[in-house]
Amino acid sequence: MYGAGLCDSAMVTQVDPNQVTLLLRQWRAGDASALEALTPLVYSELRIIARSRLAHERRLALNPTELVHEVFLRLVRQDQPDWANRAHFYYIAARLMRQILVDFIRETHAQKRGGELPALSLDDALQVAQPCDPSVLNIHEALNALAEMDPRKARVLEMRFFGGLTAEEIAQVENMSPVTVTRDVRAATAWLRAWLTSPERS
Amino acid sequence: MTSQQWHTAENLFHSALELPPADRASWVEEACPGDPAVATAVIRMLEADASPGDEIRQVIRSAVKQWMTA
Repeated sequence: MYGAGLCDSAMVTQVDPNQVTLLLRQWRAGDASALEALTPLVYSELRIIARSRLAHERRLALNPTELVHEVFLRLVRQDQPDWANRAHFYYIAARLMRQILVDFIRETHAQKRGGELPALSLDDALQVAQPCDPSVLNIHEALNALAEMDPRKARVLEMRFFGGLTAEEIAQVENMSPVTVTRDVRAATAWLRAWLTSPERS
Repeated sequence: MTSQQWHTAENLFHSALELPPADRASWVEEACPGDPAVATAVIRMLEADASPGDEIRQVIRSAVKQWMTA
């Protein structure tokens, strides 16, 4: 996937793919502690991917689907695809992407409010001049509001938008039919878009 | 909305989608006379559903890009 020699030391994954597969199976079987063990592994891998991209292909970014697929390939690399395991893995990655982006944008806003910025190069200044879109925070807030009414659909939208999961993958995680997922995504997305237009009326 | 209202709204939304677009709003208002909050929510959902746009995906994609290039 990458050219040879790209940031090799950072690219080495210390995690045993079999261990990740086992943890995914344990979690699917109802063992919540397996999810707790998996989360930091996925989190650290997402950060490594972001940083290694930065080093070599500055300004090239992946979309959420590409990110979660890549982190799966790097951590699991399984020869025999286990679609349910893979979908559950994507779910973890989607949840983490939401958390990472919300934290990142809050930090960026806090820094901007903080004043005391160091001298910037023109390039950096241009980056700062383009504020992170606060809409990610609005989406986060809207999903929290949706979760109060309907936790399952809030999860479905989180997977759809923050992990780029397909209806089939979401269906694996939620143990329902892809047709129902598609229907739920349509209704919940309509609610979300209405909420983003004017939250107080939704 | 409460969970109950939301589930009502969702069902009405899906039923309304079966109708011609011009008939939907009046049908929704007639379908839930006792709960204007639900009717309003459904009509707003129908409007959002009908309006083109991929802004949620774009906003998240742009945030991912900013995070990866920060």
